[in-house]
Amino acid sequence: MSREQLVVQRARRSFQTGKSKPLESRIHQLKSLLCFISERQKEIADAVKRDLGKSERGTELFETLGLEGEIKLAIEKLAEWAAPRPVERNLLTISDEVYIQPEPLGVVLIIGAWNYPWALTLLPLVGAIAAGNAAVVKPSELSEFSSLLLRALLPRYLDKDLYPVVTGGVSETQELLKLRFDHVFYTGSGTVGKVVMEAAARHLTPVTLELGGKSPCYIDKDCDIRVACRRITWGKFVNCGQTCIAPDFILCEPCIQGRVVDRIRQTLLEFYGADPKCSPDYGRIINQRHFNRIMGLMEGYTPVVGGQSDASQRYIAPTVLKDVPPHSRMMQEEIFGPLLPIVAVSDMDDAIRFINEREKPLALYIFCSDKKATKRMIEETSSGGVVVNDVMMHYTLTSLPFGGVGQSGMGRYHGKHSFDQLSHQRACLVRSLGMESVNLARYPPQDRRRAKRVRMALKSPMIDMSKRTFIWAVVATIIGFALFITLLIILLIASGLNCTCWYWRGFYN
Amino acid sequence: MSREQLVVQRARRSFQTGKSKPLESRIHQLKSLLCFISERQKEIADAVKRDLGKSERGTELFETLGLEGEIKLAIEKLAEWAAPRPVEKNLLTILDEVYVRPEPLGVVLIIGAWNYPWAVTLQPLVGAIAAGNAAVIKPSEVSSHSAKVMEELLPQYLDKDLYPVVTGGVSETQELLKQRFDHIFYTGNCTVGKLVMEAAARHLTPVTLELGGKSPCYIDKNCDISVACRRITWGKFVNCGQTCIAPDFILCEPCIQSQVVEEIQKCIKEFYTDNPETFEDYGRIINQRHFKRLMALMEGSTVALGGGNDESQCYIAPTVLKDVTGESKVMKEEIFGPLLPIITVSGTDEAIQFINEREKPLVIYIFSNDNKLIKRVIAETSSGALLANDCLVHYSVSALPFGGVGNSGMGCYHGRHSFDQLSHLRSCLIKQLKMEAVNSMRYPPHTAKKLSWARFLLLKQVNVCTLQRMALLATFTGLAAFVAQKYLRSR
Repeated sequence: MSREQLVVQRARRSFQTGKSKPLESRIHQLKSLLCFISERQKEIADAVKRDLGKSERGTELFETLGLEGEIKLAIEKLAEWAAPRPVERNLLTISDEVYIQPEPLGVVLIIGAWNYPWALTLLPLVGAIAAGNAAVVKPSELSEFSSLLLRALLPRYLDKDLYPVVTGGVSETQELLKLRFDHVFYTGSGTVGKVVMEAAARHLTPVTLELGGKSPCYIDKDCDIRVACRRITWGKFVNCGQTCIAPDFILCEPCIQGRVVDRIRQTLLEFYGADPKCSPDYGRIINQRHFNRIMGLMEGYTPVVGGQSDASQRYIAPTVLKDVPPHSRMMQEEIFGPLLPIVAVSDMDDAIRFINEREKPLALYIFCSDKKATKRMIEETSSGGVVVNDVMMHYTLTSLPFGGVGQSGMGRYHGKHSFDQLSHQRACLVRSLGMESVNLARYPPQDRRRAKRVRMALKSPMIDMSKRTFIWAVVATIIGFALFITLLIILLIASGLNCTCWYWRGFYN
Repeated sequence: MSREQLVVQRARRSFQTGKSKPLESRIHQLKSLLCFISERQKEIADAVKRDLGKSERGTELFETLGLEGEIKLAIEKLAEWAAPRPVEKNLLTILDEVYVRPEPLGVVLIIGAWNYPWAVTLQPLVGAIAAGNAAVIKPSEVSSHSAKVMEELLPQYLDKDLYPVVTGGVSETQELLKQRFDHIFYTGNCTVGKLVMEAAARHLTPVTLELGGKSPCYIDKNCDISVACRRITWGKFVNCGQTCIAPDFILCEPCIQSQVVEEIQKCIKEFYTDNPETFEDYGRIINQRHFKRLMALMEGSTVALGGGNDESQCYIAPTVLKDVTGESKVMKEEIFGPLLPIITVSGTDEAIQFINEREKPLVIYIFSNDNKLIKRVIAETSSGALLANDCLVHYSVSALPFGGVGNSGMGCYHGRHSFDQLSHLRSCLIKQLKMEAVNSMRYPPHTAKKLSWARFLLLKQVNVCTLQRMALLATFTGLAAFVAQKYLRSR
């Protein structure tokens, strides 16, 4: 038996003992995970610095802060999320208990990515733990320092049978994918996403695929270009462009192209100084292969900003290119690097057409002050998410489901959505063995009279018997009653009723 | 270009014109679908009679009634379902518009099944239309008469470019599966389910698989056995056992086994008369292949009652089998026929163990008066759904998500769940280009001070509703204090 088989078998046996199910143990594991992140902040930041050249503050801001928030949210809300959820009933089930019970799925496989090696590997783990599952965590081998650190330290905080860490490359991942899981959560590229889903299909395992794509960024000529460019520059060059929701390319009219380039140049100066290579906040490309790939995309084009590189450090300066033709290599694949092409379009309609000709992206960014035009653009396109007048911030709001559509992925997570995605929502209907006479209409022999009765019973409107509606109904009745009484009193006073025991007598004096 | 390729291409072009998106046109199509079912009731019932031997009333009760209900619900609730859904904000987004916007996916492929050829093929279609998609409908060729009627008549009611019907067998289905869709909705068995998902993986197409399994039915010895058996008998022999959520087998203690058999015998007599073969409300097996399969399953088990059969009519009498163990032939696959094996277990513990040793079923049935026992079974097992003290009826509660888990399927539908399953729920965050100063905390150069601001604004859990309520309360208190002090001053 291979190492991977043993690990998965042990995780499954642990799950079957039931120890991951009680709410207290889930909260305990989540609290331990929180300790891990706060106590090992320094080691984590070191690992990320060696993998991606990110500064310690950058790691805290973009990796661990969000993770902390999610863990705290899960701990706070777990009881609410895991509780049975009553649903609307019909006349037939009016005296029954009808609810949805969230349940653990079993053993989840989490395959992480290298660009945010902690956030993208551990955020799904938060959902898996919260939902009561066991999880096999497979961090990306490309971010090797982070994955080695995860393997060394995580077992000291979490149950090592329930949440084992398996490191390795392509062959170890393929070995894992042969095994049977109850859900596979993959973050990465579309090509590997297809392989993951095909492997999962052999076991009828549901999947969540957080993939990528070319996220377009449309700048309307009448908006505040200075602010727009600041926000875009920030979003693009964070982590050296290696973010799945980074604005991949800009679409704007030729008349503002020059201003856009100028503003970006100014902003870059403000953020990273005259030489971004010396800025502690500017990162590096993950490895030589990606460095070469990104440099290859620029071939044949002269950038208007940046363009410098240093292969020994895997450094590529923040680079902007204008008048990029739609058929260029840069526009055929997700850039995932610090190159920002500007493609000229004649107007918003042209931009919409451009976007719709291509695969649905993970995110769409629209910079426009005209509400109507923005609404139209949202309606006429499709993408995983859309942010107007900013970039990437939808990631930070846990109430928004984060995920793709079409080639950019399937499924979603963050906050309660992680919990729901990694749970089974089991429909429960608890009836009683009494009132059998009500059922007579459905039994054969079927005749006209019975058929009519069943028709009536099934057609009844759904009745919402939830506690919230009940409380609302009671409060509304009391308020209505009180208002009625008040109206009566006002009418009595108005009609001149003079009562000696009247409290407001002072008024008449 | 093959016929299937042309059909899918035409559906996609139609979708891209945008004509399936406006709410009015979705409602119009749904109303037409409703007309179809009410006007063509007779043709539908005829087709089902020839496919499955079901009576006209049986078809109405089990196929079209539920469908009508779903269509009416979709028409009534569409505006509500399709509206943007606001979500909770945090301090950072307190002035922004934040909502989830349901959108159509594109072209959906619906592969129907033969056991309820109308309900199981058209119910997903209701969800697809409601969500604003185009849909290619592939009814099962095994229920050939229904497939033919659907192919002929549906285009007379629905837009034939947006919602084409493609009939055919294995090769036509394989050809369809090579094409690219935005969602595939498949109802059927696990083996084909795996093939469907593999084909979908090549295009990164999400799938909903409504599969099957062996749905266990545990009868507690302390419950009202006669009522329990009535409900089980009804649930089992509807459509001659060819229901994905039919109670597949019974688990009970040996002391009540004979009572159970007796009660079931009484019910069969009451429902289907002494001679079910001639009774119109008792159906037939779909075809010879399944007939032979079912007859072979009976091998090795003792027939406690029934067992009669007629190959020429594909008729198998309602049959109960005893002396069945976990290893018997009849326990190796989903029965999907009118054979009801009874397996004896020593108690609830053994029943739970028996269930957990096997694949997660589509539904678990438990008959008991003891609420604690029911809660225990819920906590210690897993299944698509759980129904206590009755059979099949959870199907008719449209607020409950209907679907499987593990080998019994993935995804769910019915009511609003159909709409959500076949929509893309797109996150939307609408900000302003003002208040740029607030953003400085996220821009480099990163400092400790900026970081602490970010920490505060991102991590502080803020319930906007509570804030609003408190503001309102403060205003009222202020007003009341003002009025009170005015009055006191005047005194």
